[in-house]
Amino acid sequence: MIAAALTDVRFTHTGRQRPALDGVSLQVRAGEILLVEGPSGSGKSTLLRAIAGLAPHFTGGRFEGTVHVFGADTRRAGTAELARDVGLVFQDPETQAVRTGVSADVAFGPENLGVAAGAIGPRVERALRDARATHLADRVVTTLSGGERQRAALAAVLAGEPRILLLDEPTSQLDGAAVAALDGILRDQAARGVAVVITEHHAHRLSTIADRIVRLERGRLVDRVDDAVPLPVRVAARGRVAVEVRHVSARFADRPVLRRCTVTLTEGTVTALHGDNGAGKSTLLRAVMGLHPIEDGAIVVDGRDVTRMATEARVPTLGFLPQDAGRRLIHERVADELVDAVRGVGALELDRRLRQVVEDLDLGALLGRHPLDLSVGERERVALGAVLMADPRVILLDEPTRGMDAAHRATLVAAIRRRSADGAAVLVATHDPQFALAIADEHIRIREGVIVDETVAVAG
Amino acid sequence: MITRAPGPLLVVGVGLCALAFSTAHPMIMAAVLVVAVALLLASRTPARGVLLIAGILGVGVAVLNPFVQASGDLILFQLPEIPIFDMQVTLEEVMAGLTLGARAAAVTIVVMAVLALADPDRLLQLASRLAPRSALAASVAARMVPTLRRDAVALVETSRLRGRSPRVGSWVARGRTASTLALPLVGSALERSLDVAEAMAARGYGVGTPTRRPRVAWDAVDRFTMAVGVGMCLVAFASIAGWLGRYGFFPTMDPLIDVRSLVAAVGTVLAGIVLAGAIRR
Repeated sequence: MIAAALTDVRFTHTGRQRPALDGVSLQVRAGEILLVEGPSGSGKSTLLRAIAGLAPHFTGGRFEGTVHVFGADTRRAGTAELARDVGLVFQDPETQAVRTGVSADVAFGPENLGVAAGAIGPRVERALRDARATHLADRVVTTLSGGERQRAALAAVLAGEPRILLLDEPTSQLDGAAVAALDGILRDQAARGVAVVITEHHAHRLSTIADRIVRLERGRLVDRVDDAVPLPVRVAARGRVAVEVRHVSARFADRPVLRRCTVTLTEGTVTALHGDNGAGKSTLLRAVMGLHPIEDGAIVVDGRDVTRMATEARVPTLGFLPQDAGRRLIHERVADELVDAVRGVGALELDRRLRQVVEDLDLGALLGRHPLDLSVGERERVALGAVLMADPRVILLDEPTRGMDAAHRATLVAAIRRRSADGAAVLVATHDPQFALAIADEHIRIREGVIVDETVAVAG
Repeated sequence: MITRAPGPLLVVGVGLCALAFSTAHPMIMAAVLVVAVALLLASRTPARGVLLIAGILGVGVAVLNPFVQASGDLILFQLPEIPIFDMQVTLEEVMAGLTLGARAAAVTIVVMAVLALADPDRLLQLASRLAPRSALAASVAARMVPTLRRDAVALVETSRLRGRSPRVGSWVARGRTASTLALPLVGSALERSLDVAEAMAARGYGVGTPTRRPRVAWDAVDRFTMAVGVGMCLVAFASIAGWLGRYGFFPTMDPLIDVRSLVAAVGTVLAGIVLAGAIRR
């Protein structure tokens, strides 16, 4: 049974010249798991919005061709009507919650769809169970971690009992265990006859469960090519000690998140920090930057104890790209954003750095654009560019590949390696093992706030 | 974070506010203030901001009152004459000001405590019976407040990571740094509100007549809260009906302690503290 059929769909966003979808024809069968891969800006999210009817009903823009969802033409059926059959989990789970509590939010969809009052409770329970989120039922949405939010958002969509489930970059904030759990959830849905369409930059993370994989580039379906990052593992070249984290402990609310962590970063070395959601990776990086208070221990940079030093005084020696940095852009033009952090540098040096960063991160086409007009991956690159412009000797990166396609991850790897070769010490917190293998000389793991393993990866 | 059924909490809130406005007795006002603070602390939400605002309001009223009232027998001091203001300060004016300040602070804290303790989703479910669309708008706005706060914190962090702090330097420099963050914050808020609107559309908002899931049954604490609330309303009613006696500051203050008011105040404090303890547990 055909769940969704797209026929020669062409869609152009208002004010844009190039179509986001350019003649896409595709069918999705009930019970099938379809994985749509492609680089940033290839039209993956727009494809999902077209199936859900949000494009063009919500987004506006020029729409040609047809999309049928279980026989209903999306041009005639409104988005809300299509919601009876289609459930969409957006890329950013944070903005999907309408209500404060998780279970109340999960009930929002069934209430809108007019489900009988007595049936809403069981539906909510079932959806939470199916999304492996029963333990989150009584929590407040804003207190959830990224991975938990993703599960709550999935439960909220499953409560509508959709016959087509659309997921936009669902693994972007998930660790390996959470991806495995998602794998199981999606298999269960498909087994019940639900058509599942997933878009991913990192197709390898869900490729094992996909019945079919298609590739989208510049709005068109194209033949698949293997775009895995072809980068060898580096040989560690140990330099001078740049940063010492000595027996650092920290709390978040009443919970200990770092327990006597000791980490050493050396010049010319890239260290990957591994760990599950909530293990303490971000807190460790934030503690080094002075953004999270520490209870015990010391942070030493270039032999100097900076534990009591304000964050502002730690820059530009230290540079930090926080998680979700793309949401933290300040200026109205990318070019202004990039030069914002640079202090006390002459015009020639500023120009040299700008050209280098633009080249390293492929930002040339974005310089005159407003950050809010950029995709998630593009914003991340701009935020990273702003960090690198200050030329820090120690670079701390928290999940820097969010929303980035394979090509730009390779660009990022090359840019960070260049800084490392110039003597910078780099610490990267990441869930992405392929990226970690490509970029890092050393790998350390944190589990429940404790550094549990420190090994040096050596190339063969 | 603690969230409870809003109905019983609203009854407690109405009872306390009615009691605060029904009498000027300093002892009862102090009792209401104590219960309000106990309830606020029981919510386990950050209380410092609320207490600071209520304190400023209360102290402001208390300080201003002696200069706008011109009564009382026991003169404490006389300040140089200023037109319009009464610069002769009496004990009765000071006590009346303190009581008025306590009332302002108590009512502020009671309202904030009830809002902090009440489950916002159930509170808006109650409101939605009267005005469904307004309740939804309020619900979305309430959801966005913590997100906005986090965005603001994130933008300040970005600024600090670029070597500028809105907390350092002259007031002008701080204001300049903060103002550069206002526009991106507005932009971020607009973007997030569009995202939420899109998510609502995708989840069937507006498809037809919505249903509501059945109200969650009250537990023992909710029932106890309702009992305490009804009790406070009865005390307030007794006060309004004059059964606790009238209290006056002018021209000479009535005695601070009388049996009926003492019983009402002690009863209110005990019931309020036990209730706060039950909620906090």
